Amino acid sequence: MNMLEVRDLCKTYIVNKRQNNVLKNVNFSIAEGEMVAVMGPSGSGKSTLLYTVSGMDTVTSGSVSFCGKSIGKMHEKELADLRLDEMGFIFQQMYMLKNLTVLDNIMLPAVQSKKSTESRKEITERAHTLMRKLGIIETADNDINEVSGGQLQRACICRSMINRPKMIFADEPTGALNRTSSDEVMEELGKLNADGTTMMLVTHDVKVAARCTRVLFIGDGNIKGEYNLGQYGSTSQLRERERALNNWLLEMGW
Amino acid sequence: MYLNILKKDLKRKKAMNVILLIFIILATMFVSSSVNNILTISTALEDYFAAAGVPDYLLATTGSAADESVKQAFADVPEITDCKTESIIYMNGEVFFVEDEPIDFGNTAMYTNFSEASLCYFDADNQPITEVKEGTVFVAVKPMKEAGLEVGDVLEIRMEGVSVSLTVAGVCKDAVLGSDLMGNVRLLVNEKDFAQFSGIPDSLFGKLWYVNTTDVAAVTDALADAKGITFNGDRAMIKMAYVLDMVIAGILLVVSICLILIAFVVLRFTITFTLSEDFREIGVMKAIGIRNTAIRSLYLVKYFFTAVIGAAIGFFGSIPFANLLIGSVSDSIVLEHHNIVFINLLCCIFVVLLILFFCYTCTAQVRKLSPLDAIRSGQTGERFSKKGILRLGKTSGRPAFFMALNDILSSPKRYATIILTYTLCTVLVLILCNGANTLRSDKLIHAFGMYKSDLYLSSADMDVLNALSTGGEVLMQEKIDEIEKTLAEEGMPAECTIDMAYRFNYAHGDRTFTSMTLQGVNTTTDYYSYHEGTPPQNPSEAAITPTVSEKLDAGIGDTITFHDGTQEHKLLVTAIYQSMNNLGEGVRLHEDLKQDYSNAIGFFQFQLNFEDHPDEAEIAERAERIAELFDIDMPKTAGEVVEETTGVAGTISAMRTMMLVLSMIIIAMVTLLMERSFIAKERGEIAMLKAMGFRTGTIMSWHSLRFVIIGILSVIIGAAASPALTKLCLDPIFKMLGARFGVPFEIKPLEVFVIYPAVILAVTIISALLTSLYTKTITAAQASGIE
Repeated sequence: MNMLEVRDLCKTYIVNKRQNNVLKNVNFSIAEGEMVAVMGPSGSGKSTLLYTVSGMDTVTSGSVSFCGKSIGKMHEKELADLRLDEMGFIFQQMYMLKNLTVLDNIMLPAVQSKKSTESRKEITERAHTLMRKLGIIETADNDINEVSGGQLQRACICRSMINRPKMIFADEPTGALNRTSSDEVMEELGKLNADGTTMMLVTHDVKVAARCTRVLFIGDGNIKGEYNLGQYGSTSQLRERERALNNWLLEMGW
Repeated sequence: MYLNILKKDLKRKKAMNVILLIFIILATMFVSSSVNNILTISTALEDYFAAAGVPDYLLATTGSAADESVKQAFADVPEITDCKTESIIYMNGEVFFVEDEPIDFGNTAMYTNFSEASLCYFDADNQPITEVKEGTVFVAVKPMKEAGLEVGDVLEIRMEGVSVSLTVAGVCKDAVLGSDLMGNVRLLVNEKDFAQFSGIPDSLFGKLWYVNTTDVAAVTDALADAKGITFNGDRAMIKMAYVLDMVIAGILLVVSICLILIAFVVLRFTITFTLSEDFREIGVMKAIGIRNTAIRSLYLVKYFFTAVIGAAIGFFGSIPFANLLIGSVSDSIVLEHHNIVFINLLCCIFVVLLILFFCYTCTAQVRKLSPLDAIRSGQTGERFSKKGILRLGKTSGRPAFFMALNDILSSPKRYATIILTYTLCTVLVLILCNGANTLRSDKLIHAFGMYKSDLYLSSADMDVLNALSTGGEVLMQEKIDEIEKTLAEEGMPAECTIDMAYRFNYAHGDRTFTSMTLQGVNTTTDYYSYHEGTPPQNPSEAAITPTVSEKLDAGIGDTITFHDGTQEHKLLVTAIYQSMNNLGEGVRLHEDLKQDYSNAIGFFQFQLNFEDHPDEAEIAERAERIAELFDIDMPKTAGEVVEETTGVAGTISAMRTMMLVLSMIIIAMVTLLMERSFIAKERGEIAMLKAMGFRTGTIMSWHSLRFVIIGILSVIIGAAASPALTKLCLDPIFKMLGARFGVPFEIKPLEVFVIYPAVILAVTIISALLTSLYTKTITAAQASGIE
């Protein structure tokens, strides 16, 4: 079953009275359990694609359906509820509320969710479980500026997972991290995917994309091609996957 | 390079720069107008007295016999350097008409011959009156207002068979008798119009004596045995009579100081806040090798230009704002700003320098910032105490409320600035509210040396003026009996009493003092309140006020003496009571001490005490019936008598309303600008929350609730502190008026704890909600694009 179905998606911005067609008739789909990377040169429309298909931004024309529901027809409040309850988000900028601890930042979406019937205690326990899983349990009571960038991004992953989303959207999740932290974060995202969470992520980094099951290459506002990497197994395969992906990207004009 | 960076800064941070500019404009307006008001008010009376030529000593006499008596008394006083007189005619009762309808000036009018004017009188535009044309009249400010007269009205005077019609030419500001407390009705007329009453009885003529002397005490002593004096007092006393006008001025002073405080606090906050926005830039500049001094000077240049532009706009706004505030103080005083442009200019320069100082001290942090701050947006990560106090897992409220409360608790300093501003505004409104209510409260009647009755009838309407003569006590008793009898017949049995007023010269040891003296008719001395001692029990005992006690150096147990014209009386002081009549002077005689009513200078209202103790509604109904029954003005309650006597409750109410409006504007502005700053700083968090699925309504609630919480906190603090602060601010004023032991303040719980806090809170909530609408413009998609 397709988790995300995108048909003839167009997105146009008007900048200084000039029409800028960022996305032009984009078509693709993501099946349940997939981990899809979107790659492409700067300004090709990768982030715009992520925001429009996740309901953060409006579509100019075309259709986007998430779990069979057309998000283009949804009201702003419905979209907000959808993002809160069924989607998770990770950004390059590790935004968190400055006055909350790491734990409270992670718990916040669960407390806000009207769908959730869990008590605060249960939410706290679930947040602890996630933090333990991602190896940041010791930072629970820390302020957000008392932890490292890698720890913060892992906290963002925990936050994106707290409402048990059907799909996670990540925009350059390792963009602000060093290589070690980046590997750690991708390791965790890979595990979540292995557990069944569908993911769509935008990245410039071949090492990151190599851990995905499929890569979409976007250029000039359209999907120019896609490369099926198959399920990522172990670190030993990584080098081979990177090489293959690099070759394909060269063919695509990267 | 500076110019380029500045240009970019102005473009990129438009919102924060505009907010800073608005605060600078407000600060300049508040500081300039307030400093101007403080300077004007602090010298107002002295300036006014100097311009009007107020003498060292003032004396009012009645009848030609008094002229001779005073002249004789002054003959042997070499200390008198100058003595001028003005001829006046005392006009009482129903003698004034406009279009055949009687009008009431509320007090004895002094029909004054302008050709003999010894004082400089001013018109409404604060220009000296140089001429009063035949057939015209200038009327004192207060009675003009109270009688509803307007320029151009024709005032007809019908007295002792003479009728004169005069066109009202304008108001006259009278420095010696024009205060609210003096309450005399000055009518300035041409000498020909004055002469038209030449045939009326001699007892209605009088003189005002303007005496300049090197020794006021010598003049007072010389007048000890003079006859026919209705009023005498020195310059200090005349000045004190303006105390109620100065109460208003004093309140404006407090308002001005608070406005300056608000301006500085908010300015400092805004500069610190806007600078904290620039940590990233500072970090980047340091990273590329720009020196600390160069970075600091860059910000100094930016703030200098913003300050200069803001101060220039504020300068033009401050002049009408200062005039608006000073205009509310008093129309009885010539109160004008001197050098307003110059002072405001100085204040503007001061504000600019202050901003630069704040900026300089705030940019001292530049030295501590490292290039790392370019990455971490000013957060160094070195923190030794926890920021957030609350924990989401341990609370049960909605996240918006939790986040709002947690933000306040995490940055108490930031929110303390806003709380201080809101609390100051609340307290100012409530002090004025309590002041106005107290000056209308029947609780204050005791502070005037009177006792509380059900109703007070104006004695001027009751045709008892001729009781002020030898044997008048019989006439007065007959009148009282008549009133009691009529009321009993009408089913309103009541006891009727009145206080007679005299001025006697008292002595104790080598000290003498002329004081207003009261004696009750149909009352006993235990009707009245005393602060110390016991009520006088027999004719040889008396109670005195602290002012008289000080002047005579006499206390309880001492014996004071006075001469009533025929014999000397020795009185044992048995009690001390406070009175705001004649600024604290007063002696209460035992009711059985026989007095010649020809010595009396007047009497108070007839007081009615209903024997069947009716409720308020019944008293109000009876008041209407009594007014019809005796064909008099509507009888007053104790509260109304207090309001009429003090005369400033209305002005204070008007100031309270003005302050309420001003507070609402300040609160709305502070809320709008502060919240807008917070939104500008938290764009990233807002976009992130929206991306995560938080609805705009939740984010609006989060931002608004911060201001609602601190608004609630502020009005609670303000309301709780207001009774104590009212006492602290207003008690000294009442003490100056003569209420040495303080007065009971009228704190109306509904107004103080509900209505005004609710209004202030409503303004806060509306402003916060409207400003939070701005969060709608931030979209979830901006989560990746905002630094």
